[in-house]
Amino acid sequence: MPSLKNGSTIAQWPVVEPNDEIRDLYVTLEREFPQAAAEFGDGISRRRWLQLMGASLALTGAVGCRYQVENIAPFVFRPKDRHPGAYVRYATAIDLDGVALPLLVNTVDGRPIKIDGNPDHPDSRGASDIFTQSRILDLYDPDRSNKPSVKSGSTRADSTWQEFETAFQEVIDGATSNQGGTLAVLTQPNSSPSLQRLKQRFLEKYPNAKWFEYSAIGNDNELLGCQRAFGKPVRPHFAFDKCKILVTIDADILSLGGTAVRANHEFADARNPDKDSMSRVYAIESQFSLVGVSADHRMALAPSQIASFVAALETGIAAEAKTPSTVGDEKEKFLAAIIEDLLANKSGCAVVCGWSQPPEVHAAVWRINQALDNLGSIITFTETHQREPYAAQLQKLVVGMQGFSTLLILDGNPVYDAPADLKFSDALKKVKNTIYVGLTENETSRECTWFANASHPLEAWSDGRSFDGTHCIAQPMIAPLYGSRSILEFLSTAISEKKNGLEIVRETATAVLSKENSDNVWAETVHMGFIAGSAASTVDVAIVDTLRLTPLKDWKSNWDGGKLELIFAPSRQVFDGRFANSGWLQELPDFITKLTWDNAAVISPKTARLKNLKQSQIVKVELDGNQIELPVHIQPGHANGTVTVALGYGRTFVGRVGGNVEKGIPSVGADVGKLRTSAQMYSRPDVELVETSKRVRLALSQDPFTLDEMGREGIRTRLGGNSPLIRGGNFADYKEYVTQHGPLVDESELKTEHDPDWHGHAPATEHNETTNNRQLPVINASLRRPAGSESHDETAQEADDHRDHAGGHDTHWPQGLALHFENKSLNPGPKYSGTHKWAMSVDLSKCTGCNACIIACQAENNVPIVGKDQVIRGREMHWIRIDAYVIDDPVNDPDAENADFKFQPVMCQHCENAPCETVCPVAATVHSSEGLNDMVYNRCIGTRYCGNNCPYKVRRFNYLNYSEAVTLIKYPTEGIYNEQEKQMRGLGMNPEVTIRSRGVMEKCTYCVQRIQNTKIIARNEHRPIGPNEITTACQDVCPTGALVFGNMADRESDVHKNHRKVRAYQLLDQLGNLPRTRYLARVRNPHPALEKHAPSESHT
Amino acid sequence: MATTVEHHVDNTIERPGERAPLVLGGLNYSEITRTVCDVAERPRPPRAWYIAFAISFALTAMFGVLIMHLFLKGVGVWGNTSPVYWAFDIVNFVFWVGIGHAGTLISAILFLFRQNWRTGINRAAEAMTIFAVICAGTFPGIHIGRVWAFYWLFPIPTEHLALWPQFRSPLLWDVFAVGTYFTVSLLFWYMGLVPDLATMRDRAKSKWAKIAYGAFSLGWTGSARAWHRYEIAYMILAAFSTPLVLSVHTIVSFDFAVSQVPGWHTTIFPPYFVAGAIFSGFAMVVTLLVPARELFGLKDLITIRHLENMNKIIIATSLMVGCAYGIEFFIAWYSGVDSESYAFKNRVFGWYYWAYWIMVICNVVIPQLFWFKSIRTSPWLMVIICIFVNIGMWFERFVIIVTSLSRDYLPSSWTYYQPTWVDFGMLIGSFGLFTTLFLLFCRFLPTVAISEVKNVAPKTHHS
Repeated sequence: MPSLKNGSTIAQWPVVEPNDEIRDLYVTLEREFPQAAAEFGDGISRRRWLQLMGASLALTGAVGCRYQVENIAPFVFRPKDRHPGAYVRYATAIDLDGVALPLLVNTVDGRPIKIDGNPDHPDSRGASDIFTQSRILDLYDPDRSNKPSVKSGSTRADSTWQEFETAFQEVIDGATSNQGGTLAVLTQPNSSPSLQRLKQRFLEKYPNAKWFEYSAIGNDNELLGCQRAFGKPVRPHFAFDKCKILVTIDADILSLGGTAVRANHEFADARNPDKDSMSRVYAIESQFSLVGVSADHRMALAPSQIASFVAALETGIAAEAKTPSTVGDEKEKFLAAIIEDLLANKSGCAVVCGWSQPPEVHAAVWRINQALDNLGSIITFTETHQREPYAAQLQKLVVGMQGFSTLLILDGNPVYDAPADLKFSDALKKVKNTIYVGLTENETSRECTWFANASHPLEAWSDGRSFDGTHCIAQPMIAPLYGSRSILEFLSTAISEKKNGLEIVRETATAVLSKENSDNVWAETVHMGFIAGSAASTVDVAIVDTLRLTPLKDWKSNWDGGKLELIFAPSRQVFDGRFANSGWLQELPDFITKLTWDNAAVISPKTARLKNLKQSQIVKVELDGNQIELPVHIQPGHANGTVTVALGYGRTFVGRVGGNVEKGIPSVGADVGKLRTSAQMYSRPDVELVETSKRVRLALSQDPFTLDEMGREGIRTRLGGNSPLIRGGNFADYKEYVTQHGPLVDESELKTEHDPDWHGHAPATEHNETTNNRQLPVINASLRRPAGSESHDETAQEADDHRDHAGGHDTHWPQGLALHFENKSLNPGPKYSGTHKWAMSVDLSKCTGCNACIIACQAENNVPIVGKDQVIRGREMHWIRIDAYVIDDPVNDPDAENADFKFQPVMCQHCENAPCETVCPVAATVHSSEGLNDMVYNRCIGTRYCGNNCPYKVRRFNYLNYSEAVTLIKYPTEGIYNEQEKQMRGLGMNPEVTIRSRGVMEKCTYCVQRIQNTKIIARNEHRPIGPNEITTACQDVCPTGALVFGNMADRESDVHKNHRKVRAYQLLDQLGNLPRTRYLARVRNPHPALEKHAPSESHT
Repeated sequence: MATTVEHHVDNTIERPGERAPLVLGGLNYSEITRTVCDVAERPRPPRAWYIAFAISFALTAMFGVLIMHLFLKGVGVWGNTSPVYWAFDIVNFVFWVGIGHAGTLISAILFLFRQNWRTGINRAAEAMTIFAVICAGTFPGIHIGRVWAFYWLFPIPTEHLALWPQFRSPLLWDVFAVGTYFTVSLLFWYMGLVPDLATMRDRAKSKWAKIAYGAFSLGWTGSARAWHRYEIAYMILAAFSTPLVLSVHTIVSFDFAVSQVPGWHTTIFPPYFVAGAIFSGFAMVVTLLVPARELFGLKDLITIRHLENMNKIIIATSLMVGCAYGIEFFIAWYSGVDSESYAFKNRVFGWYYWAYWIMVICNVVIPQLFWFKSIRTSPWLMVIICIFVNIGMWFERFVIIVTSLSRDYLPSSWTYYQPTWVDFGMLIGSFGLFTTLFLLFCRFLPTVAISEVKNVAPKTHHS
């Protein structure tokens, strides 16, 4: 990609003026053939035809997007390997808060439309997370700033790059004269080696300048903890896949942070029930996290109690305490079980401590790991650079503000997210000249003298280091859409080098590459996306700190209804607020609370009861003169006596999605960062929630708990009952069953009657009995019963009974349901004659509920967002959703501090007897010959009957024109984006998927566009489609491999293998819809002595 | 008015060996004609008519504006959600179709059963049927997402669509059932009107009235041959209409019964819906006729006996509906299907318990007052009770549709449906349309079947 030459003429839209020759051709085309190319006359020679077509193609390309080479000329001959409309994938990497994730980006006609992980790198293996997925949306965000701006007096005015450069040159000149004595730089953490190199150069050139780093959410504590424990700054790496026992202490390893994708993968790997062994996970945490949901045992503790828990754990491990885990109260048993498990698995287990815990707890956890011989085996360390905590750095900057005449802020948003006690905004006013360079204007840039718009990560050359230290190259996918420059280029200008991004990045890589950086080597490196073998080497560590913890609060004490602890947690949607203008992320339901478009004060049912707070009631929190108002959300399993509030909300200047107070667009949520202080970044004790009389409706995509009693009873019956929605049981029981009956069921299970492609089995009636009668062995019978209805002993008895009769359901299936089930033979489903039977399997054992599939599906299938009001109405459009159920019985036991959460991803099940198809009056949803339940958008008139009749409720209706597509009748002023902005948004759309207008029904298609594309390729190559060749978007992104798509009729396919597992079952099988999607039962591995308290049975 | 002399004869008392009179006031044939025609012929209607018309026409206009708003903005202006894809739109549809049942039942079934008392009320009831079906037909027409493509529901063999509708869908059966019902009811009503239109034509004084009544009376001469053919045709149409009374609501109930939704998937729906439809239809006839007979001086033709008979049907159908409510619960329990029994428990104790109890009280409890003769023969009391019945029957559809949909199989999708102001506006607006049409009917057309009433009038002194 050539450097940007458009300098001061910042085009809002990359318009390329055709040269005269092309214009003439175009005019000729217009004149000669006004309507369509089909009307070409006979007088045109083939050569001339090609010329004309080439020219028009080039012109088409020039309108909306850019190719790699910007010299637009007619394609008389199409460049090699360029296929208009075909996907091209490029490797790149995007940094998030100091950790880069290696990626592959799908582009079509020069515009990136979908991001996936780089399968060649172990940190990704093809998977990614919600933040990475959403970067497509913010690339084309019409709210991005398109030009520099300058503050004159109290008003801001648009400016140009030229003016900015002139002003900036003055700064440079001034800094050069006093060696940067009055110059300070504030950046966000960024792993880019080029940035580090330029920082060195910068500090060499201006030796007196100061450089600070700040992030509102940082791993300060982890770093300080390592420093304290080992005496040097190191970065820990956990091999979760080798971990037999994992104890997480306030650490959500699966959702946030640079290792989350890899951790998910390894975590699921260790917990695969089809292997010989399965890890056991204990989670000790305040707020419900993804690990907490997946864990075999979970204990809710307030943040202040955790230190004493760790101390107790350390004492127990040190004493090699052999306290039997059957003695004592529940909490003591819990600890004893952990100690027993850890001691039994020395050098094969890990204790992980989360970011929010203070350094001394981290140090204690390292001592525990040392005592368990985990250091070096499960946990390895790499070197990292030493730095001060972010808050301390920011404090230094604030204190020194008066001494600086110029402050450069490179990205980040300290005015919004700095701790309140630093009064950053006030201090900023003391600096004469402040220059902000960032992706878009925000609260901080509004208070700076200059703002200059920086390029999006997909628009600029950059690099980064993945968590394991691998040097990754980030190449641009598209020329800057808004005439921006990269931060690297800006820094290069600052040191008067004025190199372009490519030169900078290549120069940095030269030092890392083992061979000469020739053009070929460079091309190969860029192609790969990272430099193999450049991962940081491990270092040996030894404990130097032996200072015992002196905890203040006992972990065994129960909250007595006194003051509350306030926990600040990064938002699991908008992170620290930087993604606040991303509609995809704002509308993404939180894993646990299912809250969208808002943050809330999350408390446990007991806290609510003792504090007399009601769901959705607005409460006030007042601290240090700052006051915020938040709605209450009651969440079973939250630690009693604590309130969790999410950071990243309440942005006042971000855009039309996240809020812009100047333009009267309300903020999303409330800014709780105002209550943070630099000493208390993660939690604050002694907080009171003051109730108000106001109530709001929260935009919950699902009501996991906040229903009325009748609703909760309904959930209990459906999760128990005759045909539980989520089935599963214990690893030990499962293994026993598999030993007796084998891990797979008969192949005829997957066969529909009259199946011609089924070899080896005659379509005979002798199989009918198996087909009809076999039912998933219900491994844990207790799940089949309404909560609390029987004692534990009887449950065990029934489980035993069941093992004796496993396979047959006579003893368990009541008459009514058995009838239903046998009736299936009355309608065996449609006949299929082809070789493809598309199907999907969802492994509930592996799914950690990370939400990545939702955003990936949204990006792949152009799924619109609907906004807060519409979510409140229940009209969200996600094609795949993750259902969450609380199994506990908080009504009978309102003080229960624990709750069993279960996740279940649900998308269109592609039923063979699809209930939606028969009721559509216009045949807009029909069955394909390969078993897909197809949706014909342009045939749909929107009677919504299919939606009513779908028992899985996966159909989504465009109640309003959410996608702002062309509609026949509409209000003339509808929509929040103008035509140009709509076109900009359109660039990010997947051209293979129709944009649905108002009034039509839509749903998951199993990514039918990918199926069709692969079929075309395979047919052109005269070969069958490979067993696992086609993947869906949700499958690609899934870090745990829980989602598997493929051809059920192909025995080699993973989906076939999964469907044959004894764990496989159909959701709502009693209805006889024969869904093609099957679920694999959720297997857990509880400690035998705690089994009673295992999440699935916590009600007994 | 001339004929107010014998109002106080109580024709609700059965005297052995004597038929109770169906026309009071000793009206002779010409007086009957005059009484009925007077409504249309008087220079201006009563003041109450103007007030009622002004209100209902304003509501109709609001209905029109709201429909435009709906078209321009989308179905999202309503409160419908996922999973409550159908709400007020289909509730109103089923409600109005139900109302539309009384007319044809009175005119066809009672005709075949030789129930002479039908003559006093059949014309108004049939008109009401037609107007109710117009209101009913509006809702499915406008509730679809892409209204401009509504005609795709019809089996039109065009190249443009290149596809027939999907004949397995109950919605398509609806199109046929309601379409047939409307056509036949309209024909039947118009057929019956022809002799009376001719009477009006003969009496008309203004030029425009002569032209209009003349054109619509199809050259009726009143000859014996004309009467002969008329009666045969009337009989045939009555025979045609009779099964339609049962089929329409049966098919409407299939929209629900054929689906998989717990609470909808029940075999009792066809008879239960038909009973409910007749129940609500009769209640609506009573609600309309009591004020109409007051307003236009038709008390001698639409007598207390007529009203009482209707109230007796209302109490009978109320019991049927109540019985159906009970049986639903029994079957839900007896089936042993969790989701089914939960759906019914949820109706009584769930989110929408209030709707369920409104339904039961209005439909089952309050009509029991009609066991008391003093109540069922007291016009204004019966209007109040019938209004309750109509409220109850609207809620019955609400309970069936919204409560069932809001909680079906997967608890994750459960959503509490809340209507918007547009939903309420359109419900009220549809009443406006209905009343407007009915007021126009009262003003310009013979509200009572003149020729038929003469058949049942007691022999007068003059003849």
